[in-house]
Amino acid sequence: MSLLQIEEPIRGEQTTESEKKFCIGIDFGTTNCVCSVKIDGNVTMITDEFGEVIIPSVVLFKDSDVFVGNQIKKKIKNGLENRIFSIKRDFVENPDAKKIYGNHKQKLSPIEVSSLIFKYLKNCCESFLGKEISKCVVTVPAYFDERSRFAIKQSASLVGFEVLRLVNEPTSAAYAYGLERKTRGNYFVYDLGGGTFDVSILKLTDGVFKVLSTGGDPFLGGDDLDKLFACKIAEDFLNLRFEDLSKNNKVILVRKAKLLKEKLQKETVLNEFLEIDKKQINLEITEKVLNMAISEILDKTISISTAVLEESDLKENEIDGFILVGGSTRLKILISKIQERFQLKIFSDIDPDLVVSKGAALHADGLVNGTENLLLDVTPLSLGIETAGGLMEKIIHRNTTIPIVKEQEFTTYEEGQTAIKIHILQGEREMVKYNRTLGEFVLDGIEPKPPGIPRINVRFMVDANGLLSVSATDKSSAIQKELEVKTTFNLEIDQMRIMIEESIKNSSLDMQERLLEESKVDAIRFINELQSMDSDLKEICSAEELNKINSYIKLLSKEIQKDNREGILDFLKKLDLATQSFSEKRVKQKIKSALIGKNYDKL
Amino acid sequence: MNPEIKCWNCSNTFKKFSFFCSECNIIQKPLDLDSFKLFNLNYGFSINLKKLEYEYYALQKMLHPDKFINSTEKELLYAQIHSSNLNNAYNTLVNPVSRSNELLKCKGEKNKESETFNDLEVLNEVLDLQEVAENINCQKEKDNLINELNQTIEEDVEKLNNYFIEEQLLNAKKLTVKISYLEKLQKDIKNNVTFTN
Ligand SMILES: [Zn+2]
Repeated sequence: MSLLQIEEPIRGEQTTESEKKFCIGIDFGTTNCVCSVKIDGNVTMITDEFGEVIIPSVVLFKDSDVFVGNQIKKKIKNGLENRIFSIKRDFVENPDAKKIYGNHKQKLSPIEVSSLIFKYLKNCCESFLGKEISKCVVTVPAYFDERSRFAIKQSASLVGFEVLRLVNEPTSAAYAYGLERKTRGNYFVYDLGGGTFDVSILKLTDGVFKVLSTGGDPFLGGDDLDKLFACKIAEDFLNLRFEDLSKNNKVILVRKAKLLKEKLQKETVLNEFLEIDKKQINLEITEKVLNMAISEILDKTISISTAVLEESDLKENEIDGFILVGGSTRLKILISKIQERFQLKIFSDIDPDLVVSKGAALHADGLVNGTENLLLDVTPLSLGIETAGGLMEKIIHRNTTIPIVKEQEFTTYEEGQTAIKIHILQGEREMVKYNRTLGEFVLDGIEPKPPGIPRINVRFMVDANGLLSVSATDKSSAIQKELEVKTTFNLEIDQMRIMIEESIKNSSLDMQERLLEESKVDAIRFINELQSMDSDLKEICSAEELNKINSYIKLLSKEIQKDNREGILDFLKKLDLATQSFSEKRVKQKIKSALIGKNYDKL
Repeated sequence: MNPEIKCWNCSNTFKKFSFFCSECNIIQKPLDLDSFKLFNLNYGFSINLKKLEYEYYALQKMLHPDKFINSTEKELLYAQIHSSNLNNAYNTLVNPVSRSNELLKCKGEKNKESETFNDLEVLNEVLDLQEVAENINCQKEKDNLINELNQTIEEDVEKLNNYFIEEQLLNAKKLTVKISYLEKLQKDIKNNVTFTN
């Protein structure tokens, strides 16, 4: 127990209540933003100039002015078709890609558009509190990748926010429940936001909030429910496909669908009018129609939830409750679907629209004023680098607690290679092309040596925000290259390619020698492999087969000694043929599958 | 045997590694410690997991970068590395296979995967179990097999503990390989066995 005797160090003086620092909690959502701050021990929701807590994440350019949030609804009468919605969704695609938004003349990037929202939020906070503020905690979808996270932080920083921490939305919600409701145990957080869906399982003990596993879908959210319902209305009542409507009518119909969806939670049948192109259409809509339109998407969220539970290694009866987050979780059909699948107590008593921001404010206060509590989050997606053959080698696996540092050694594959390209990837797939590229860089100046000799140490570091930095060191020469992973620019990639090509061109051996070297490496590897399987060979092969294999090994070894590439290739081929039936039998005996592990789904 | 450690801030020296300086309370430079040393544990296989979790949380509450928001960049970096080391070490110690491998490493037994490929006895045992896995065709059989594997793993972990007590490191090494196969098999069954009919 000696470890626990370490005294808690005193850092700075204890702050008195009046000297406490303000740090804002910002839920920067796809559809709405909510800001809050802890004052005098309580979380206060920050309101905009109209007294509203929920600020729509909408931007409108008009003449030379920018309007944000509720300003649009209250101040603008026409030109509404130019509103920019759901900017956060564009972060998942590419936060840096510039395009035309609304009626703005210059192309803008998602980072720039959302920074206008952050600027407005900052103004709201400052006029609400009557003082300048800069520090904040911003929440992000748990399933957001590294690039989107970095971009959100950048966007807030552009307007003078100092982002002390990025917190995952479901983690933030669980933090609010834990602190405000003194919840303890294992909790399932189901967060259906406007544009993203996240699930996390957390363990709450002794003031520690530890995320056990997380999952989700960055392209699935409450907005999709509204759109699906709008499609259904278009088909049933307008006899039109939703896609065939004009842009303006689409917006009108989706807004109407959203409103009807909310009303249908209180009434089972509605009689409403819809005005489209100056025509009045009578809508008689039942809850059943709504449920039919949205069922499939809700089922998908349930199956993602099931998968996350299975991955957590917890059994359902070890979970103490199901926390609902996001406005869409008010849907009656969703609650009954959840209850059908999970026999768990449901928690929704903290307003599902505000709970994420509240958690962020509590965490923000803990960061600047100190706290006994601790959040331990995980990285949602695996991180790794490209290795030979277009495969991704995972260095940090998904659901690893952060911060985390992992190191791995890599080597060269060309004789005399003096540069190595580090291609950083995020995702779960084996093939590089199916995962996301986070960045690329070149480590050059490696001392020319035979392939496999240099030891390149690649270090991945994920900080508490879930942001990655990668560095690589050539252990023999201590050359180090470090980078924070940002978007790669095409020019840089081309430059890298040139560097790699140069390094190969300048290698000390000519092409012929390199080819010979390669064939020797292949041959030696093959012989070693066969020798390591000696006992299997004896068991599986006939005496005749065994003789053949052994004599080819001897002949191949001779060719290697003679440096004869033709001979090596010839006997490699022969040996390959001679061992083919061995490999097949071996596979049949399932030895291979026992060692490598395989899928059983073809049973 | 340990060289003296010097505080980077106040030049106080101490014999044993500590996360904070006993004089000036400043966070210390992380050292390359094995998982047992980091948690100040004896080199033994048997670990009180509840106590370990408690200590892990207690240390994280002091060393997590969240607690160093107002500190210098150097202190923040140290906190980040300490916190990361704690995460790594905790995960290593919680799982019996990785704990055993770490312990073998600390005791000077290198664990090379290729050596173990020839262990036919282990291989046959795993193959038999796999045969069973391939022939299950309902949820109940699947659950039964998972439970059975759980029990086998538990028994083997117990055996492993004895090997370590008796310092039979070679046997410990072999058994660790077997348990890791069993764990993998169990995971595969959990995730991949589905019933088409
Ligand atoms: Zn000191």
